Amino acid sequence: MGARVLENVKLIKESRGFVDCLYSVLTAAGRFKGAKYLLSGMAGFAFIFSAHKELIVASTEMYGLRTTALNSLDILGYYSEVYCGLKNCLTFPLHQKKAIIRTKESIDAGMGTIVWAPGITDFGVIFGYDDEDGVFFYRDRHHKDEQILLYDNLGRVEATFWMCQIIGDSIEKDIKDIYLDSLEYAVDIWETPYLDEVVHNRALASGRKAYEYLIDGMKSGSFSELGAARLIYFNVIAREEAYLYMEIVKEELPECYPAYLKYKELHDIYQNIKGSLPPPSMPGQEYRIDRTNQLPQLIEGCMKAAQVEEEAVNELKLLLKERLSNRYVDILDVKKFK
Amino acid sequence: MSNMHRLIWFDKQMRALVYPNRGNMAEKYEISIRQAQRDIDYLKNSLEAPIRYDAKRRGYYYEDESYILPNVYINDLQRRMLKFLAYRYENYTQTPKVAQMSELFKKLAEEEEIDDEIPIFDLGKPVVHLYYTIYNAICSKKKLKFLYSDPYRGEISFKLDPYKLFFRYNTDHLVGYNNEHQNFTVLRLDRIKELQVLSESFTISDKFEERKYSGFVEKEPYVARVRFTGEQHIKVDRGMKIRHLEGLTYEIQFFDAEELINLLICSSCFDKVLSPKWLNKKIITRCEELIARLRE
Repeated sequence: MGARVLENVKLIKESRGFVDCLYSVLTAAGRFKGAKYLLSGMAGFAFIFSAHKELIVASTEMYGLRTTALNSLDILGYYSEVYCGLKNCLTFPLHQKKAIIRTKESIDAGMGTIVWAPGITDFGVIFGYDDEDGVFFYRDRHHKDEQILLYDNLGRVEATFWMCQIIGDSIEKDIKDIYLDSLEYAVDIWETPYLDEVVHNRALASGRKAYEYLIDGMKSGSFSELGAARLIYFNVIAREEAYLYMEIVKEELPECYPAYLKYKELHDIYQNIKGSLPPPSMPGQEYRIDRTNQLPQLIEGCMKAAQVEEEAVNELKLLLKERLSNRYVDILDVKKFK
Repeated sequence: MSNMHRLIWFDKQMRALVYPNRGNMAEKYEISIRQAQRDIDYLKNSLEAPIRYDAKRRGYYYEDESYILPNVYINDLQRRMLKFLAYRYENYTQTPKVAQMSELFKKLAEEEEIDDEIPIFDLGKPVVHLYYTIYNAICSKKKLKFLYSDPYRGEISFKLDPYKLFFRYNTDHLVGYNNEHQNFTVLRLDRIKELQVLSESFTISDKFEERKYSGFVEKEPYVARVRFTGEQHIKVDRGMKIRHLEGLTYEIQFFDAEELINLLICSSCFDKVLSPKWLNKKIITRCEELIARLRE
């Protein structure tokens, strides 16, 4: 019977849930010392934009949690494992059992783990365990004090999907490679139209297509005021992170300067959009679009943002032309059999 | 509305001057006498039927035969299907909309159109009939005899005390107690070849944990052992279950730690948390914060 609690695990709601948690885990383990926007940019999260066709509130988290979590850690040069699934999966008990063992091992190794929906439906960080009581200790972004998760309840979530990510060792990855990989990921996010990891339909879009869903949804009038406002607000935060990130990147990679200028322009547009989106009257409340007073400005702002982001990605494509053209992997050995 | 088919029968019997009573109805529909009485009370009080009990003939009759039952839009087969749908929706993902659907079907009412995406269940399957037979056997606590197609042992025949129907992994299941093997058995309804309702009755075992057999991956409750200085009567409707262990020690199952902490702090009889450690720590932290605020 063992018990271990990691010290100094702080979790503050500032960015996307995953970024806040990743930052918390890595800084507590002494593995990352920069600003949060830098981590968000390096992990590719500053460029993420996903939207459900009906602009539902959960749109912001429908970017393909598993794939993105693995990709992001890969870009940063970390080994990671993801235990996840749909809650009605027949093999759930086996995945859960392994996730419990690996989470405890990770904490013993001094690294917290990122968990999706341990209590309320958001990311959290598991930072301790106690075998005697059969519990994990975790933090989420909505409670000040530590929260308790029974071993048996790991993966038993309110949402349909559960996930637990263990972060392992890292390679010594050149910072330039991290920057370039993250920008390549930004292009992929923009160019991938549909996200269908779990839901096999075309209701979930990414990047350019997500803008299309957002703008068309607002124009048609049949959308969730909360969902659309949340999508826009998440973009305000993310594109601010992208702009600040590009400011750092251009110092190391001066050829990124044109792309940086575009992200700066995009950031300015989103700051204007933010002005048309008054903050909630009560702390803790969600943003909500006022159809009569804000909608025309918001539609116009989002159309401008879509155009400038297209230009920004075009700059990235120019910069990464060689990488993007030469990344064909002959996984099926087609050439061998030709 | 779920008792409407019984009321229609009762109505016909009264019009035919058969003088039906609760015993006849209970026997006809394999329900308890108490349930039959509730149906008759419903007919009399809620549907305002002018019925009267004739002590001599030991049955009911219409005082005013011009009374007609309110319109009934569903027949017995439709009612069975609606009941099945209520169960299926109840076992589907717990979103408010689907829960509403389940409630709706439970009431067996035909109401507003649903304009949102909702799950679709095939009512053409033979499972619907099986479901209804098993459902009645569970309600009336009658044993069942099966011919079952087991994927490993082939076709087998056995008796089972049916406990609960549930929908999991896209298939209907039945859990029951197998007296011969003395264990709980889970069957898939689509593997049942033959089914026979027996006249033998059964009682539900104390060891049966209903929540294990559910369509959802349900959360386990936290469990605390707490000592008090006096007897405790915590209401279960607060999401807690309390069980007496020994002396003044109780086991409390709960889902909301804050709720329990509030309850314990406010209780004049609260003595000590024996386990888990984390709960003790949370109570100490809460009390320390309170004291610090009071001293400011």
